[in-house]
Amino acid sequence: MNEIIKLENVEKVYNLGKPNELKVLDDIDLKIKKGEMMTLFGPSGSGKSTLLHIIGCLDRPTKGKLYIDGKDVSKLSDDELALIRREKIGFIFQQFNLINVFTALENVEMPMKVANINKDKSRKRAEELLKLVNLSERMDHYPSELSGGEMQRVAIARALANEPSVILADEPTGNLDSKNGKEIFDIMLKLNSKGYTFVIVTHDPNIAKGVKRKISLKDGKIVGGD
Amino acid sequence: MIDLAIKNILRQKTRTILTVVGILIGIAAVVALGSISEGMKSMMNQEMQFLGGTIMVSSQGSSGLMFGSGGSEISKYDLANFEDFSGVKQVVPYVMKIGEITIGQGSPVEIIGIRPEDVDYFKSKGTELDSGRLIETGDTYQALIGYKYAEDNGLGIGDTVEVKKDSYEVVGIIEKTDTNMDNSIILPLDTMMNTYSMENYQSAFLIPEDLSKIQDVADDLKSSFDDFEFTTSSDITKQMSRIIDMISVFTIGISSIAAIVGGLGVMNTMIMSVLERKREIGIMKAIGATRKYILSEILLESVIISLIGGALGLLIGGVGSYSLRFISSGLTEAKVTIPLAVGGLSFAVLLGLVGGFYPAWSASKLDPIEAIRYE
Repeated sequence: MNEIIKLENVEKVYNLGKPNELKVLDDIDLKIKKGEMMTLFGPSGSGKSTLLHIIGCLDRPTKGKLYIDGKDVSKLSDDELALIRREKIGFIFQQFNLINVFTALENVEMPMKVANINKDKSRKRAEELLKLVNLSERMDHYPSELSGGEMQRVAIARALANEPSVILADEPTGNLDSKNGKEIFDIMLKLNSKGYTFVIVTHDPNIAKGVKRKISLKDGKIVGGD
Repeated sequence: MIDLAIKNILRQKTRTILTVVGILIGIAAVVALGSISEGMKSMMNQEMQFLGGTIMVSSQGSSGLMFGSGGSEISKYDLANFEDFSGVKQVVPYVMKIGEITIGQGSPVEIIGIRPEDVDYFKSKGTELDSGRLIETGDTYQALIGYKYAEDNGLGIGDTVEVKKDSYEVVGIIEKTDTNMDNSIILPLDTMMNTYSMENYQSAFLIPEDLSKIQDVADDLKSSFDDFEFTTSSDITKQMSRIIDMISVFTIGISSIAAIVGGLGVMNTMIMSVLERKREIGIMKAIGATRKYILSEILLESVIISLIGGALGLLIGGVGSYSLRFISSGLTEAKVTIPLAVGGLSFAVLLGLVGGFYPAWSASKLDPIEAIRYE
């Protein structure tokens, strides 16, 4: 069993039992293997972001089960989920979501700081990760001094900080021009070839072309791919 | 975590400084006002040492605190009655005038008349001479003077002091005691009563034969003499402690209000800070910060702010209390004791914790998805 992520009959309903009840995900079954790269497609409102949040332990399923590295996490408390996110999940957002008052290096150190990792050790690892995304020269720059592509590379380095089991990317190239978008996708491909697992929500045709496994969602259901 | 907290605090420097000042003012007030009651307590203890083991007689209506001012007085006849009372070993009468002579910036001088033969009694209370000799039986226009009085007037042994146009020769200077004694002139009782044309004694100390029965003797005296009040040092200590405690409660109460307002400032600052950083807090949670981590982080920030305010307040309150002592030229003694300093700092930390708790708790509860979307 080398599945990192397994979803069984996952259902997500907002405002359960109220007049404005809204079913966003319906009976989702999905398995993601180690080292895989997978994209999630779908029109807006199809539930792909919600699905990504559930896989990322930012949200809990209303029904069904989610396993990460074989562990059922669907009923864990907020703090237990925080620990899973810290150890198993790396996030890349469309808006980069770096912390503006910290340098690139400090942003990459942050997940290790939260995990109480020794300062020297986390500094060294943050430097290595920034080198990996070709940003050695800009380590001490603040986000406002970096281009969009550079910020997204810092975000990728940050996502890798605690050696996650899976990296979840929500429209990682959505705010970038095609040249920078391609650069980011190339880095993701390189990391995938080193064994990192990726789940990418995207509309970017370049990414779609480059990834084998594609899942499309519509009205909260998987309608294509497997 | 602490470096992160300091970095966050320094983001809005002006706001942080204003918040620190809010706490500072409160804690400085607590410390400065608290030091006055501490000073009063220690002054009282020193004075009480002097009264220890004696019963003070004063006429009805003059409170024991005022050392025989006002009310009727003790006649020679009364004095003889006290001397004959069972259980009383010795009677030490005295007269006192305050404020007729002033020195320096208006500190009143106490002029005390005692019988030369009773001078040993005062000596037995630990009052030693700095130089010269005590007044002796047979002395008339001889005087002992307090250390501060001698220093302020540049007086030495053999010089003369003038009291109500009579000249007295200084025969001894009393060592520094840090009590009112430093500012006093002690004269032979009979001469002083002549000088002031007094008939009666103002007050007297009664010394019991058996010190352990002092309270019983005082009670017996109370039931035998209706016109007088008999107070032991423990009565006075109790009375004064009650007053000092009232003053403490009042002053610390008032200044605590200032400090609590400072605490509200901390709360306001932290609420604003959490609101501004809502998105960041969401990001921190997404990358694995637990509720406890966010809570401790924000609490740490507010405690650092209030601790800095508390430390500066302690410093400024201490300086304030010492300058108060200077302004009042020794009349009010102000003391920043260790319990007061520790109390002031702990109060600051408490304000930080209480003021920071609500913002920290609401930050820790933020839903990461919602917080990240917040602009």
